[in-house]
Amino acid sequence: MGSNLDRLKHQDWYLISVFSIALLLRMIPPLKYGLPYGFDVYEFVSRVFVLNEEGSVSMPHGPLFYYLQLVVLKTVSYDMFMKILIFVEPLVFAFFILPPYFVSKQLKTEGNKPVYTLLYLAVTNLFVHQVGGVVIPEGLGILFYGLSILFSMRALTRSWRWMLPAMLSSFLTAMSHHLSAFQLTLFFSSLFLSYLYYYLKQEKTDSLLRLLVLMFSTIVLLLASSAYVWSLAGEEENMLRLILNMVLEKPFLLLLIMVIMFLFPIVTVKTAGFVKKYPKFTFIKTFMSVLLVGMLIPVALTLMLHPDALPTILWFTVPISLGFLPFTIHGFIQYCKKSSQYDSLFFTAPLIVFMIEASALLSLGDYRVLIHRIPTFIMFFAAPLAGYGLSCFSSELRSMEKEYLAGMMIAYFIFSLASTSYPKPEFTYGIKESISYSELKLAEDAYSYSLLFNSKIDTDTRLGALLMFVSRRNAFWTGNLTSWFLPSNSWLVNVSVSGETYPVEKDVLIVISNAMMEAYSGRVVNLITKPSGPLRKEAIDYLNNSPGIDRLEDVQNGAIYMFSPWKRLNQSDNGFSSRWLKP
Amino acid sequence: MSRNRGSGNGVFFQRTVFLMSLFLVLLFTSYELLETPPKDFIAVKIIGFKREDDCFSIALFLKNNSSGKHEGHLIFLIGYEGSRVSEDNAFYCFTNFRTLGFRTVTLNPGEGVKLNVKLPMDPEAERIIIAYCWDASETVQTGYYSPVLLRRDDTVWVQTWIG
Repeated sequence: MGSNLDRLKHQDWYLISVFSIALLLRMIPPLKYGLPYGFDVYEFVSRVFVLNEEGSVSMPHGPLFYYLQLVVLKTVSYDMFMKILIFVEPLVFAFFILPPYFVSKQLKTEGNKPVYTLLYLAVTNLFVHQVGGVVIPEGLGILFYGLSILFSMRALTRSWRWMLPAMLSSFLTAMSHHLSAFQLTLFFSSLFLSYLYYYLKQEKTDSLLRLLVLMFSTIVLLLASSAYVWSLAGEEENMLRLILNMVLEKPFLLLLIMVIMFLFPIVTVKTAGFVKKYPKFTFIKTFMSVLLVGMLIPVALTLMLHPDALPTILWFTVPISLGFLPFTIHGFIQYCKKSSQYDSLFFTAPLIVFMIEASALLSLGDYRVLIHRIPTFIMFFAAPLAGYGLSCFSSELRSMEKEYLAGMMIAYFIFSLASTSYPKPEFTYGIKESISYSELKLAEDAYSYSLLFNSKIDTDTRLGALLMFVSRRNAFWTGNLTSWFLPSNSWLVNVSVSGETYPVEKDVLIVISNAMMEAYSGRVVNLITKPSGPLRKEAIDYLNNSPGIDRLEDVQNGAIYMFSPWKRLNQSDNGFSSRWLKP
Repeated sequence: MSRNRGSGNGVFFQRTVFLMSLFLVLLFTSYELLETPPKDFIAVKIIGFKREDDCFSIALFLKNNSSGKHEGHLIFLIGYEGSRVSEDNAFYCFTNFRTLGFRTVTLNPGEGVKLNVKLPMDPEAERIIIAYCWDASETVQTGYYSPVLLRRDDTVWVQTWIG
């Protein structure tokens, strides 16, 4: 035992400590709540139950996640499946952060310590949340997105044959998550255009030409498989379809895209060349300017476009602007300086295209809210640069005192990144992400009542996901709209948006939770892209005091209301003894 | 401090970053786990209702979804014209209700109790509220006709309109 421990190198201890951090952070929600974290997962798993019963159901984002869950469910019992979903899958997803670590190991530059990249991947709030913290198709999509990047890097630096696993991984990305597939399409398009320009201007080799052909094939494959997933899922929540809709609505966009495609490779090659030659980039200057820009731009844009999102933006942006961004830019500059233009294009081209994408999204009215989905992908791609930036920074420290002070500061930056992984409702527009046992019970009973009274159920997206989960998608939920832009027309949504109450329909159960109420800093969740607000005191007073509206159940965290339910039932049944709700 | 083994090439920096990060994340995790919200809750629901010739029959189901024993009062309130329920995040306030009666109900951990309640007809009554309150300091008096204030954390209630 002792000799085995002795054999562990320092590097192994670092890896063990990083994985301990990654696993600890991802296990916080399961240990804290004892239930799957976030409400999306209930919606997704409800579809797995339908598949398990050999029913037909759409699979938003892509089918792979659902079928993998189905394999688990078919293999073990329901109880074991839930335990695996709650306690094991976050741990498995934690290992999905590995591809950028291997990208970092590929960097040929001197002084690079890939374990820093792994540290960033283990702690950065957006990764902790999206890869492991919540178990959703995006985590799976990010794994294949990262693998595609890794394989394409190997194809560019080692052998074109690595493009074949890159193509397979791209296909799996499209099968897993539409947004990951879209980001990957942008990634490959940027590489294709930039390396094509590089090929035409500087290096006309057969191997690069072969690589360009394969890259173009990968883009076609990605688009074709994304379109296939779109037709399979049959839902509006598909990035490719969204872009097509945008182009159809605003045809000038097509012209703009063509102009960008023409200018893009020139910009990337020139940028890489400029960064390589410009001598005045020091870490301090980079840190100060990135801190300024990284804080000022998001805050100013938020105040202009969505002032109510400021707490959310600050919650995520401050730690990222302090701990991640300056080191990424420093790493990027140093990498461009120390490597060939051919190598540096691999990072320059995608980073520029992602910036163009973010700017384009911000300028597109209703669609600008989608900007919140993009940073995870950009940062996942840029993590090797952040790790490299930190490596360069550490090698510039010339004394033990400086190393100690800088080490402590960086540890606090790392802590700030980690501790902002699971924001409270005050920092998420009032959306409570965790689910409680009482809310699950409320959803179960709402479904039982709806069967007894033959009624619809009006509740928000958050409790609706639970309703779909407990009813195996059989409940008649009036707010069951999964598309991004169609407004929901339920009583709860309308009242929360307008602040005005109006009579409830007679055959609808209204299910409310404390998480929707203004008194609890909550909000009626109506998907992030749709308008909604909190349930105000007036709405609660209306439900409690309007003649005829019964309060059927109270579970401390929420309640169920309905207009004259027993009158309807007794009229149709002439007595309750045979038509009780099963306890 | 003199320059010694590991300084100047980032090794000491690396150790500081990793050890301190691990320590801080451990602290953060412990803090988060100490803040674990309660999983326990009490639920009450109406599972049946019927208007009979001289009374109302209500079937209730009370469930203790917790690991502790709960002893509380089941309070029957009759609401008249102008009766009002208001709530904030601390209390429920029932105004213009008459306390018709109460019953002590003890719920063992995980236990569910079905209760059949018969309430007499009252031509002026508009609604019936049944609250289960396990606040030990709460005292209930039959016939009390004034605002009833119940602590939200210790109360669940349901209502049905009869007027």
